[in-house]
Amino acid sequence: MAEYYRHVPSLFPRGLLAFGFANPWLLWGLALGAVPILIHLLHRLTYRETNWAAMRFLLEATRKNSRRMRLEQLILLAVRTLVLLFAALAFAEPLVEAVAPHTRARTPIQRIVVLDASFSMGAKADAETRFDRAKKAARQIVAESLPGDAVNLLRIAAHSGPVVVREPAFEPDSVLSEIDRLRLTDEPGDLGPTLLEAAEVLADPRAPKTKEIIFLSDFQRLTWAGDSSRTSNLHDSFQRLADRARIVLVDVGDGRTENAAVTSLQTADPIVLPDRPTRLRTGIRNFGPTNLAGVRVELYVDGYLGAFKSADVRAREETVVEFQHEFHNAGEHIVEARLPPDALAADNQRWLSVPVAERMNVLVVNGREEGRRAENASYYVQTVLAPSTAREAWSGATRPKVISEADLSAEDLSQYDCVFLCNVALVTPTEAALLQTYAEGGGGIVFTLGDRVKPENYNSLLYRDGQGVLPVALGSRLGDARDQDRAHKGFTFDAGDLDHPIVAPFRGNPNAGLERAVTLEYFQVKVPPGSPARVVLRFDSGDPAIVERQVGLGRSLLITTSADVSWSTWPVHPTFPPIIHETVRFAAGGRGHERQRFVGEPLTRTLSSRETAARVVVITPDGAEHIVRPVQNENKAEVVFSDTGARGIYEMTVGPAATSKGPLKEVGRGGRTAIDSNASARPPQDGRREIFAVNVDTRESDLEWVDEKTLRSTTLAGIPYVHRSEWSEGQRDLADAAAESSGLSSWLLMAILALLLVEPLLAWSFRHGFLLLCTFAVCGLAAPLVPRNTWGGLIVAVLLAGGIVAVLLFGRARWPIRESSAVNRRSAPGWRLWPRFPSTGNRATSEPEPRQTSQGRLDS
Amino acid sequence: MDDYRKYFDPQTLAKLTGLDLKARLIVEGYLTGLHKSPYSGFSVEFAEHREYAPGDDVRYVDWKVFGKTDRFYLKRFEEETNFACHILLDASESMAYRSPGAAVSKLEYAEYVAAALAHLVIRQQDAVGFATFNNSVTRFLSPSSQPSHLKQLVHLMEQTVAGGETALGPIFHDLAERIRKRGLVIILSDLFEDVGTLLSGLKHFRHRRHDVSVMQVIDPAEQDFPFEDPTRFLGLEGLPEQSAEPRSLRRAYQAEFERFLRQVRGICGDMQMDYVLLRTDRPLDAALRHFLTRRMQRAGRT
Repeated sequence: MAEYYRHVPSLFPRGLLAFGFANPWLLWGLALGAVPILIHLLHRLTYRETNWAAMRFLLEATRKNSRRMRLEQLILLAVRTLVLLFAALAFAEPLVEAVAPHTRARTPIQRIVVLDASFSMGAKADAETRFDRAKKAARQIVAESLPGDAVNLLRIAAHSGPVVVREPAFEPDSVLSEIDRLRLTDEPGDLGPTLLEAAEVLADPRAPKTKEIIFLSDFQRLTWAGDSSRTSNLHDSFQRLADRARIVLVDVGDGRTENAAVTSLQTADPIVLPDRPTRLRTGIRNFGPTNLAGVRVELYVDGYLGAFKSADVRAREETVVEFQHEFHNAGEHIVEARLPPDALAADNQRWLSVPVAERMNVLVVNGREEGRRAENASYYVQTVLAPSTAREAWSGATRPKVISEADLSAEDLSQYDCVFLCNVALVTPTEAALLQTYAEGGGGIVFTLGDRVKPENYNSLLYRDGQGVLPVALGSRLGDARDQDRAHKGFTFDAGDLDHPIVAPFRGNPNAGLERAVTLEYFQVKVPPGSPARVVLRFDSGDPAIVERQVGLGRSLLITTSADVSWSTWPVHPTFPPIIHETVRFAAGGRGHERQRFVGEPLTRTLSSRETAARVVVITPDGAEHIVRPVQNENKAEVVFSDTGARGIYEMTVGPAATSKGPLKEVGRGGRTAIDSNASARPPQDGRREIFAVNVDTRESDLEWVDEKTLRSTTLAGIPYVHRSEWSEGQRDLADAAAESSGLSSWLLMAILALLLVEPLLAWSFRHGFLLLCTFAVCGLAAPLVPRNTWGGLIVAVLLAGGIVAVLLFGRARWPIRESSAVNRRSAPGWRLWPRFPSTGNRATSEPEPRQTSQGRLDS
Repeated sequence: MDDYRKYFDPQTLAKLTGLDLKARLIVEGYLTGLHKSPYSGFSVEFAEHREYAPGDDVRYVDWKVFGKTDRFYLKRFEEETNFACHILLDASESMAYRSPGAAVSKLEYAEYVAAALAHLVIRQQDAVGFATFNNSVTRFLSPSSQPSHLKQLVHLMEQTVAGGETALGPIFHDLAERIRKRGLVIILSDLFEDVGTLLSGLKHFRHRRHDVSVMQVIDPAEQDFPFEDPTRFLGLEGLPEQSAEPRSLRRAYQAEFERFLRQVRGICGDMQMDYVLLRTDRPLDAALRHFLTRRMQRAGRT
């Protein structure tokens, strides 16, 4: 059927579905068609008059030719009327909705091709990916467009700009090259922005009036359906589009949903130190419908295969595979988890940036200085973190540095993984700001209290109604450590609720002795409802003993009692060291998170005060080097790199200020970069190198698609659209009831032009005019058969011109206007182009003498 | 262009007053032209004169001609050239037609021709008679060779007004009866008449053994049909009117007209009658030349 329609010329549409007018209110112009008739009738009333002697001949001639003359008059009148009628019709822009597939004179269409470029389209069914199929379909759509059609190109991707070709392109070649250049992204799909941009592109006044939007996608559930609020937003956007354009959905998916992905990769421990077994946990999810057995999961460390394991994952379930690895060197390390290749390769690997700290630097602020070391507030913490015996100095990774409270503001906190405050009386606003910046940048703060602590100061500067670094506000003190009578027996820890990671090791160990550490005094705190603070450990009285809260990228903990023996016996209790260690590690654990990012998320790094003039270079996974200019925000400088469309490892080097003045193509605010591949973009040799891992959002790995029925009832409920399984020639078949509308306007205008040429010729010499009319009619009917190219048109035009000339020349020869007198010929016999007008001038003097034979006969 | 020729132009003549003057100017101009032209087609000699040959009687030398031409011609006696010329002028309504392209109406043109011919004839001391007619003979002048007769003739012509229908057939019959003596009959008419009746009328003349010279006077518009705009044609002589789109009708009309002319020519040729077509925009010397040529031939024959 489709084949048949391709070749049949469009003279007789097979089914005239509808006839309409684009501008029906202009049909009053049809009344103009009566004008020539009126003129004709009026003309009859205003004739010239003359006496005429040779009447008998005139009567005879009229009698013999009356019928012919009337016919000629009618034809002339018809031609004049048709001109006006066609003009009126053409203004009304008639549209014929017919099922004639390749009507030559159809209205131009603006086509908006939307390609799904989310990484699920990289799923390979046979040899080609869904994206390749979509690109092929897009190319076909563009190639099929007729001259006068315009094409726009958009894509579905969460972070890349939706618009590829914004201005309606009337030249298919430019769009074809854009399609070829399109690359699959690593991003998930997001329809919302694309639909908004599509609406804007539709409104472009340069584009043709008839519009069509074609979506080439695999119709993933994540993108096309989802939760109800998102679906209703999409529905509204689709409704607005459907009001102006015809929506076509082309499914280029393959219907398969088998896919396994690495959904997570992280260290189990918050901070990684060298020569320690580090636990690495990777999550493997099976998105497909069949169970997977014996999946080989490989772990690569710094590019080398470190370990592999075999995992079984049931259908639609996730399993966690744990590896252990010892990092021998401090510094930046890259860990990668890999799955064997399957249908969708983009989610079969995941990276993790593991900064292995050489040592853990802890700053301990001593709030109470005494002569005897053991009476310093920081003594026990310091001892726990760096125990030295008389014989051996501490050589472990943790390096605590103890300073007095007064020296806090002079310290550069960014070099510390954790800051421990012991019984610090009060902080100055400067110190509070420093701590705030430090914590938000990923640092960890542990507050321990004591008798010198001024709660008003803490609450106003450090808690700041939940905006500060203190997890909770300090209440009043409970208990009395100076009570020598020990009337109160003291408070112990509640060993019941041990969910938090810090105290998790104590779970299931009832004899660990938590409940035997006695605390005499503590600050009462209350975690307000809705606060993100978490209670780590409680006293048996129910009040929290340890509270933690996320502050920015970092963490903050509060121990409501003292870390020395002034208020509690806990520091000398065996549970103290492990809890302190875990606390410190937990606090310091905030620093690694900013290294792991999703595709599209910007890489950010706060620069310390020493680094504000540094030169920052980012190397993307494709090897390109970008220079990033730091941005000054309030009181801190930070670096933002947003070009994270590709998954993989990004290297950021923060070095000293730039010395070379090479041609740097730098960035303004906002952090977007330009590629500068000159030598001056080399990362500074003596800078700090940091690794960022950018991974795909594995929600997109769920290849589950929405079928048409669901679409019709949810996202596209009540919206007319056409659903196709592939884009092919047969897209205009009978089943497609919303057939194209073809415009007759251009045909009408051509006809008008032809008639206007014919009319004066008819009036002057009927024969010539009629011949021309017939020529035009034949040409008009034969036009669909003429090949649509410039050569064909040229040949037809030449033939036409030749025909006209031939008619004029030979027509004159065959049907000459008879002159009975030789003197009436002004020029060469047999040729006159213009009619002879009656002359009133003196003709006798310029005429040649008539020739007369002796018999008086005339020569003619 | 020589001065004398301008008087052949009907347009120039129309500006002058007095038919007599016009006739004289035509004739004299013609004669002058004959003398001056190096290529005159026939000899200067009129039938009425014979060139002097030594030995001829000097009494008969025409001194007027000598005065004009410096040549000696002998006059022929009246008996020798005794012939009567009857000029029959159609004064029916159709002859009154004048198209915008013509300077004079057909009747006027015919009158110029008639007057010039009458001048010529009188000059040769021959007799000329005259008749006007429409559907009946309105005036009839018997032939006379007196110069005063010429005046009377011219006066009569000036007074003639076109009107009435054409009825050539019965007229010719009538006239043929009236013109007893055998002579030259010149018919000046547009001959817009049924060809059959025309034929029978002319036959009557032939029966009478008259020498008939048919000069058909037509208006250029009647032959060319130059009308462009839709026109209502008002028929003369009682014929109905007709509104027509001339451009589309032109070819057909001309075909009809030519057919008519051909028929007339054919009739005249069959009856060995002299025929000439005169268009009112043509110079008048054509008519004169034609006439005189015929006279020469006739003279040669007799």
